[in-house]
Amino acid sequence: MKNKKFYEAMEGINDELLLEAIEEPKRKHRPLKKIKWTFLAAAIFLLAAVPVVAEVFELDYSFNETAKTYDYTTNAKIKESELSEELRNSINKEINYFFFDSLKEAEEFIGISFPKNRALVAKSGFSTDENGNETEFRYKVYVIANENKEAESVTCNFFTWNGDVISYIFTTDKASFDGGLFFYKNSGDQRSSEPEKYITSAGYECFITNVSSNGCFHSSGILVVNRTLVKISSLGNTVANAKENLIEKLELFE
Amino acid sequence: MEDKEIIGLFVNRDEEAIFAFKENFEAYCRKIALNILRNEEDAEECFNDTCFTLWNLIPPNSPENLKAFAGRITHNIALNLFRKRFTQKRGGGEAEIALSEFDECIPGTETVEETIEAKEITKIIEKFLYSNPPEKRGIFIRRYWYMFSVSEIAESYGFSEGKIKSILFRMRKELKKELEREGF
Repeated sequence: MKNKKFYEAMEGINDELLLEAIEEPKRKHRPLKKIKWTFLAAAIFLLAAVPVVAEVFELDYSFNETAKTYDYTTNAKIKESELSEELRNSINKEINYFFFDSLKEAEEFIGISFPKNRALVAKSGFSTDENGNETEFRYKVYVIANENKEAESVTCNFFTWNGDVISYIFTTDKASFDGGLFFYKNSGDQRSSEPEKYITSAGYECFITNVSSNGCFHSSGILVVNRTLVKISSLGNTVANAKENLIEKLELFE
Repeated sequence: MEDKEIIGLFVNRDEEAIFAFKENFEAYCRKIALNILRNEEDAEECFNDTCFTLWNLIPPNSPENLKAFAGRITHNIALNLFRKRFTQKRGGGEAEIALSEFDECIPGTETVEETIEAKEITKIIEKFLYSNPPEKRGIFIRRYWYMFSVSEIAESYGFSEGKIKSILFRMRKELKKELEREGF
């Protein structure tokens, strides 16, 4: 067993700490936001005056159906509130996400530094079965930063190996971004643990991640433009090929 | 029944001590064992061993706080049982997951000298925990002493699992720095 020293040390902590820890904690209750009538009136006015353009939720997020394909050029925007309650509950059971109070914390957590105003975080993890085999892709985390390098929003993509693809997005009013879906059919052998930095000819900085799947390779690049995260992905026969395709798309995007 | 009364029964070798102890602390001790072993039968066995150990230890011992004393005994018995099972068959329990989270903090130990160092580490951990607010140290101890799962802790505190994981991650990181500063 690893870290025997720590276990022994933890076993020795004093009674006061042990008993304090087991006391019933005061549960946190998030206070309901106070809605002022003036704001409500303004909102009603705006709703009446401005035609509402509903964002179409075109992707199949059904838990029971296997997603076969995904058009990476689709720029579907979804909000948590748009997901069905059932799906949200299902997601909440499994999702593994992290909140950051600042980009600095996110940077520390991920272990890389982000360029000012064009930031992303990518972190992936795998769960394992009893034999140590990777069974499930657990999460990816993205953070958008503003000019002050403060995290404005966090989005997490979560997908499982059996083909279910789930995206869970947290947004603030300052940022918007696409659905950020990936599709991996099987556990791959080749993936880069660290996102690779790439600077486009126009000077945008982005990072590229690679994940293999059944002999095909996905790459994803992310840019933050005008505080909007744009993610472009590509598929190739090899990692290098996928990366080239991605870079091409990134350059075209500009 | 108060702790002192129960201890008095133990001291007087009165079997009523076991019943009184069970009534007051069975749930607490079994939860500690269950968190580590994740098996009701093993937890029951562990609790019975705790009662037996208490019977042998009191007297001569007379603990100031019976709950903490018994909890510690249960914890040790459960961990020993867990280790025994662990060597038989790798895999499973919350204990393994919780404890493996500390792989990054301290190198593994093999020698007696290193084991003695654990006491110094205890002091550093205690100092570190006291430097954190009660809520955070509660979360930390629930995870790494009581071996609660992250979801159980999140439920208790009314936080998301993500937040609990973030808190634990940051605390581990801070503790690691603290230990390195102290030469570990």
